[in-house]
Formats: sequence, structure tokens, C-alpha cells
Amino acid sequence: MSQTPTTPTHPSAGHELEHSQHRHLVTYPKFLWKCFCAATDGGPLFYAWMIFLTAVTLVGLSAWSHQITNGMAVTGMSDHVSWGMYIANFTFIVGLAAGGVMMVIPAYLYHDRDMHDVVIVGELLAIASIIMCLLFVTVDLGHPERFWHLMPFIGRFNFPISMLTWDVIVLNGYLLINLHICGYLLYTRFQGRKPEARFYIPVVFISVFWAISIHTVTAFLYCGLGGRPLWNSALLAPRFLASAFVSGPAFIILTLYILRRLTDLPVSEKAIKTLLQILRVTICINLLMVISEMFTEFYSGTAHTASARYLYFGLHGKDALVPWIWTAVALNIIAAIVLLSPGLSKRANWIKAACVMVFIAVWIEKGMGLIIPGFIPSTLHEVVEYTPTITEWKITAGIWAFGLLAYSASLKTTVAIIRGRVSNQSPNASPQDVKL
Amino acid sequence: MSSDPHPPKVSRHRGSWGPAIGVIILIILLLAWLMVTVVRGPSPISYGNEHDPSPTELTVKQVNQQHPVTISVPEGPPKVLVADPNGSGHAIEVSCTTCHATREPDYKNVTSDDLDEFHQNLSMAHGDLSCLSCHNPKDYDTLKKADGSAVSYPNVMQLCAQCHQSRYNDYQHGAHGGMTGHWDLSKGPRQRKACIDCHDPHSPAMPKMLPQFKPLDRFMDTPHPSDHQTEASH
Amino acid sequence: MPPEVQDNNTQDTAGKTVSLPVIGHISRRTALKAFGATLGIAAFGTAAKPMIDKYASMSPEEMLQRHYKELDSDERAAVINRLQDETKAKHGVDVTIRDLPPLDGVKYGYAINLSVCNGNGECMRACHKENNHDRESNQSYIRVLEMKRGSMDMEKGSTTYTHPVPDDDKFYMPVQCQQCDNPPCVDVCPVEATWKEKDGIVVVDYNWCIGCRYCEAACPYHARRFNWKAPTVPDDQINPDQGYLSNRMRPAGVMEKCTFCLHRVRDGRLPACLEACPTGARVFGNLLDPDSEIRWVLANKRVFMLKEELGTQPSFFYYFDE
Repeated sequence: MSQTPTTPTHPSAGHELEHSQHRHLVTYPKFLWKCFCAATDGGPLFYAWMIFLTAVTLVGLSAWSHQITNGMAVTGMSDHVSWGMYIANFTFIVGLAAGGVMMVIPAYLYHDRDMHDVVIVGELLAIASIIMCLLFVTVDLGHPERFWHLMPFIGRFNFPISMLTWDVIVLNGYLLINLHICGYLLYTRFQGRKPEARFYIPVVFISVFWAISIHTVTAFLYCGLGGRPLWNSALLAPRFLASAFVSGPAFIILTLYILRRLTDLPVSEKAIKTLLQILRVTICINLLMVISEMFTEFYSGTAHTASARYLYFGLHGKDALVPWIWTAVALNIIAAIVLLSPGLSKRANWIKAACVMVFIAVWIEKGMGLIIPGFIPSTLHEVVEYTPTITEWKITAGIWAFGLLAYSASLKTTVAIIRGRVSNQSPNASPQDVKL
Repeated sequence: MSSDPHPPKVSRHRGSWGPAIGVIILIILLLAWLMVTVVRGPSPISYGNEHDPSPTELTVKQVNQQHPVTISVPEGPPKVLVADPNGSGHAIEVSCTTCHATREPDYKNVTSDDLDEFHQNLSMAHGDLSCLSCHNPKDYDTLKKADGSAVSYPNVMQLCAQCHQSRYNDYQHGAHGGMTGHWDLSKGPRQRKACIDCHDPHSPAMPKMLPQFKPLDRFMDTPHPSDHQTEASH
Repeated sequence: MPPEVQDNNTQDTAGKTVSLPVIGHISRRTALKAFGATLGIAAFGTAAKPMIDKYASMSPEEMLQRHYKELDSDERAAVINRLQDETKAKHGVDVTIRDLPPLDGVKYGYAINLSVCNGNGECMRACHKENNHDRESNQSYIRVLEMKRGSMDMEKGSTTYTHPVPDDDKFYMPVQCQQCDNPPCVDVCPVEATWKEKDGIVVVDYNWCIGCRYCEAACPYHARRFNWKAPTVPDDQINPDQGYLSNRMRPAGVMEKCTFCLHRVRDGRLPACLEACPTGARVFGNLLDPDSEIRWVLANKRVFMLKEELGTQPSFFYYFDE
């Protein structure tokens, strides 16, 4: 949760002349402890929400335990469709993590003040998302206890040949970068100091490129496979980025509305407007890319279109994904119309609805709509379909719940620190925190 | 952050581009490294002994063929089961000449349909050949080649080879016909099938077989007769 | 990670307990939180118990076993003994697991005569038995495609046919691992659990594979198989002639693939699928030996490779007589 990840951050603070090493040894644990208290304390609604998420997480854990004891046979995957729900969600959530950068760019590159006030929401989303990504990969492994084989120097890290090793590096790197930024900003705020630019601004700039890299590398996982025509497209990485910059801002807009309603964090209308502007552009780019992909597949009519035909129209009487993908297409188009229409896009409820729609649309399009049809038909053109089992749903829900748990707890702490309820001086933060 | 009311000055930022540019350069270098490795192929993959084999080096050790390749051979002329002419009630085995010595060869008999006694159940579907294309009318315990010379039953492959030259050529080079044992004759022998082990000489086309072992993968449709075949068989 | 939930909860309870004397009295809120945390830990323990039990039952040698290439001969012998003992304990069968090295000057090649193959599928059965495959799924490393004559479009093919073969209208193409010279499956493996041996065979270290199935996604020939559960083989049907890198009993959760029957061919023997073929459609041999049968086929037949355009450079070939 929010305070545990901050551990590896900024020993750099010790370089400051006016603060002795000794002081940080006292202040930092105090910071962690107060963060923890703030994250586990709140009103009835907060408790209900956290208990609910914990319960779902535990259901997921129990299902994962079941999967480990009984083998991956409890999933709906097969030698034909060898990746399913887990990798689909992984792909989508990498996009969510990268999407946070769409707040960082206006805030730091264009010095947008209003965005600057809330940019940490995007960075915390990145942290929570990367945690979810790592969990989704872990539950997809047949032998998660052998994770150490994947560690550089300890195991055998097939770098640079395997794209998965690149993904390990960029995902963990992105996690560390964002932990550092958030941890440093919150810690200085906690101490009542002004953050020093040299300790975090360079890292912020790195994070911008890094965010692009996490999603590019994730796309390279798939588009580098010559035997899978659906994925073997140069458009995949740009398309991943475009859809990431749709789902990320959409999710952040929703978060900002919720924060404005439930907390005292000052969320300016302008920040939301900026994100909406971004969303208006990216949603069109994303649709354009979907259309060019579809055109290339269907107009040429080569044998390589079998997967696309399966996805959009069904193949040899098998059509499990058809309703899903058309739902996604419809939601995408409706959301685009809402966001681009001058009247509707001024109303908060319509905006919220459009964000929810586009979030679901990208989840379908990039998850089940991209990973599953890559395997159907199989490389020998056998059409074997995939339906996730209840175990897979439970584990997936568990990971989402855990991610939201981490996100909620870290937002809770962050708001408390920003509003000055939690600081080096404050005696005890929790009892006064009445609003949530 | 709200805690930072005066965002660092632009000049400050300019200085901080350094690390970002450094990262980009690093990424480009890494990508270049990847391309080089991928194009060259990963180093542990090499064939032959130490280095890639070039055509001149493909000579390789001359295999010490200590172990034989044995081809299954029929034991000798076939025997036919007939009722004991002496009336003992037992069946006895007689050689071909036993009966054929008393009969004149009839060149008009092409298939078993032309026969009014003996061998009538034999199904004969071997191109345009007739009985005496292969069976030796001068000595029914042998076969005969097209030039009339006799071939013993164990050497029946010579007879097949005279028409099926290219198939026999394939066979000689191991590109036709089943085998068991060793690919490496320095390690052990090899047994090979003869023509007539698989092909009935009277009806040499391989008979149809029923596939009995089908994959039963997870979530795959159970094996079924294909639509086309269902039409054809009805 | 779920375990962190536990850690935090532990901290929570512990922290509260420690801070009690300072505060002086327990507030109702604190007591409730402690109660909730305890409940959470209990639920966590219950949920994770099967998993913890499973890992607790594994031996440290098994957990910490290093990569095949990093083991010296003594260590390999120890591992092999352990695996043989495991099979004995589990199935009551004495098996011999050998670790045959690649032969010098040998690179294996395999060819199938599609004019002769009639799709009877006996190769699959032989593979199934030889390699101790899962009985329930009729697993094997081979799939036989029935395709329409005059077309190489696999989409019009079928693997599920059960009618008498050959159909006059069709031809049959068995597909198994092509032992590519440029194997995508090896490239993508993040932990080097699969690699190409000197004799051309692509192998898997079942004790190193993490089961991510990236190789299965990368293979264009559907040649890789995942052990969704531990294969079930009746004790009396276990093939006791086993190879460390080939047909030994596999654990659940790892990849496996055709190794040209490595435990046989490195002993000079022919692969099981070749011996079982009733039509004699299969040709196997040493590509580096100019007098080998496989070299004769390559030189004298019109040979093609499956999906050659993908640049995988297979060591597996197909040819027609006519």
C-alpha cells in the first residue's frame, strides 16, 4: 500500500546540508507510520469500501491458491489459446499505467498550474497499475515460485533477446520511478519543506519517456511474433499508446470527480478540462487506428485476416467474441460523439458516462479483443475457443480489488498530507479526518 | 504539487533534460544491441563442432558401418493349403508346382475372374498385369522378369523394381519404406521392410485405414467425420 | 501482492499493541481495528493455506535447483537420482533417466513424404506412448492435418477427421516441432529455459521453466505443449527408458515439446514416430552426413518447408513423390 513502497526512495534527501542524516532516521519512519495510520483510518464509507476490496482480494487469493494446487487446468486456457484473461488484463493495465503520463506532460512540460496540483493522482495510478500488472503476470505463471529465475544475475535473464525481459525492466523501472516521485513529494510536504527540483524534476522527465516505453515494449511482446498475423503489425505499438491515452485520462477524470466529491482536495475544473481535451484527441486517434487496422485486414482479404474475421464476424460457426467487440466499437463511437459534441461535453454526468464507456471499450478492445483472437485460429488453423472459468474471474477480480485498494489507500494518505492533516508537526492525524 | 506554488524556473528545467536525453541514448544503444544480436542470431546456437558448417566442411566422419541393414525377405516359394488327395482328411501344404506341373499355362487368364477353379478369391488389381506377367510358367516355384528370366521368391524385390524403378531408387536411398532400429549404423543395426510387407503384390495399393488415435485436447471439438466425408460416404 | 496485506495487518496489530501503554487506554476504534486486522489475517491464512502447504512440501533441492547448463556432472547425477526416486515413490516403477550428450558431427533432419502419408495417425500414438504423455487428453507432439488436394491453405484443413483414410480428395500433413535453426520460441523465453542444442534439437529444462507460455505464443507450428496439470500415465504403461531433456515424467505447469525422441536418437536409434509409421513416409538422419538418407531426399526430391516465409529455418522437411 501507499507507504510500504516509499521505502527505497530518496536517500538523496540526506545530501541536504541543513538536514542531518540523523534527522531523517527519525523523520522517515515517522512519515511511514503516519502514512500508514492515515491510510487505515477514515469514515464509514471508507471502511466499507476498503473492507469490500479486502474481501474481494481474499477471494482472489483463495482462487489463486486453488489454481496453484490444482494446476493451470482450472483455467479456461488450452494449448490453442494459451493466454487468456490474465494477460488480457495485463495488457490493458499497462496502458492505464502509461496513461498517467498524460497528466505529467501538461503539468511539467507545459507548466499547467491546475494540473500540477493534481498530477500526483496520475502518478499514484501508475504505481497501483504496475502492481496489478506484475500480479497479473505472476498469476499467469505455471511456476510462480520460480520467479527468481527471472532475476538478473541470480537467475538466467535472457536479455536483450527476450522482449519479456525488457518488459520486466521497464515495468519495474516505471514502478521505482513513480515511487520515487510520489514518495519524495509527499515526504517533503510532510516535513513542511519545498521539494527541491533537482531531486525529482529529472526523474519526472525520465518518467515521461519511460511511460511511452512500457507500452511500446508491451506491444513488442506481441507484434514481434511472426507466427501470429493479428499481432504482427507495426501499428500495434502506436495503437497501444493511443488506447492507453484514452483509458488513462478517462480513469483519472473519474478519479478526480470522485476526489472532488469525497475529499477536500482542490480539484480545479481546468485540470479536468485539460484531460478532456487530451481525451478528445486520443479517442479520435484510437478510432482512426482501429479503422485502418480493419481496413487493411478486410480490404486485402488475405489469409492473414482469419483472426480478424473471427473477432468481428465469427469463423466456422464460432463467434464468442463478436458481441464483445461490437459492444466495444459502439461504446467507443458513442463516447467519441459525446465528448466531441459541444453541448453534451459540458455536462459532468455525460462526461462521466463517456469516460466509463470508453474505459470499458478499451478494456474489451485491448484485452479480450486483442489477446484472445491472436490465438484463434491457432497456428495450424484450428478454431478452439476460450471462455474464462470462474477461477480466472475470481483471480482477476481479486487483483483489480487489490489494485484499487492500493490506489484508494494511497490517495487517502496523499490527500491527508496535501491538506496538511498529516505532517511532521501534527500530533495525530486520524480523529480529525472526518470527511471520509 | 500544490506544495510547489512556484514551479521551478525554465532554466532549471533545461538543465534537467540531461538525464532524459541520457536515457534516450541508452535506450537507442540497447535497441541497437538487440538488433545486432537478433540479426546475428543468439550466440549459443551453432552447429557442427565449433563453427558453422560451410559446404566443404560437410564431409563429416565416414560412418563405420559395423552394423547391417537387413531387409525382410520371404522364406521361399509360397505353399498352398489343400485337402489331402489321399483322403486322410487333413489339410496339407503343397508347393505351386505340385498342381501346375499337370496343367498347361493359359495366357488368356488375366485376373481371378477368369478362373473356373482355384485362386478365385484372390483380388487382383495391379495395373494391366496378368498372372503370368510375374509368375513363371516354366517353374511355378519361381517368378519371372519381363525378359523371361527366373527370379526366386526371396528376391521378389528385383521383380518389383523392374517396373517401379524410381520407387526402388527411393527405397535404396531410404526415402521409401518403413524401417526400425538405428539411424546410426555405427551404433546398431537397422531392419527394413520389403515391398510386399506393405503392398499386396496382387493388389498393391495401400488399403484404407481407420485413424484410431485422435487428440482430445482441452476445449477442442471432439473428433468427428468431416462434413465432406459424410456426404461422400452416403 | 496479497502477502503485503498480511504484513500490513501484522504491523497494524503489533503497532497498536506496542502503542497501548503510551496512549493509556484502548479506544473503541482501535479495538475494532485490531479485531478487523486479526480477522483479515485469519482469512488470509485460510485463503493461502493450500498454496503454502504445497510449497512447504517441496524439497529445498527442488526449489533451488539451478539451470541444466550450470549443473556439473555430479550435480546432474544427483538430480537424476532424485527424479528416479520420485518416480519410484509415486508410480512404483524403476525408470532410467539418461542425460545423453549431443553426438559430434551430427545435426538431425527429418522429412515426411506427403505422397505416402495417409493420415492414419499411428505416429501420434507412438509419440504418446514413447514420451509418457497424458492419457486423458491423448496428448502427443504431433498433429496430423487433413488438407484438400490442390491447396496449402491450412484454414481448409482439419485435425479431427475420423473417417477411413486416405480420402481421395485429400492429403495429410503431420506437423511436429520443426527444430528451427532460428527458433522464435528460444528467442522469447525470458529465462533461457529452452535452447537449441548442438545437434539441432530444441530442448526444455522442465526444472527451470517458469511456465509463462510465451514460447507457445511464439511458435508458428503449434509444436509446444503446456502441462495444464501433471500428466496421468498408468504405472504399467510408463516408458522406463527416459531422457532428462526429453520424455521423463513432467511436472505440472511447464512447457514441453518434441525432441525427435532425444533419448533414442542420441543413442543412434530412430524416433518412435518413424518406426511406428505404417506407410514408411518418414525419413530421419544426419544432415551433416552427405551419405545420409535425409541428404539424399533434400538433393533429389522437391522439398518444401512449412511456413518458410517466417524465416524460422526448419530442420523438418516435406516432399511429394510426384
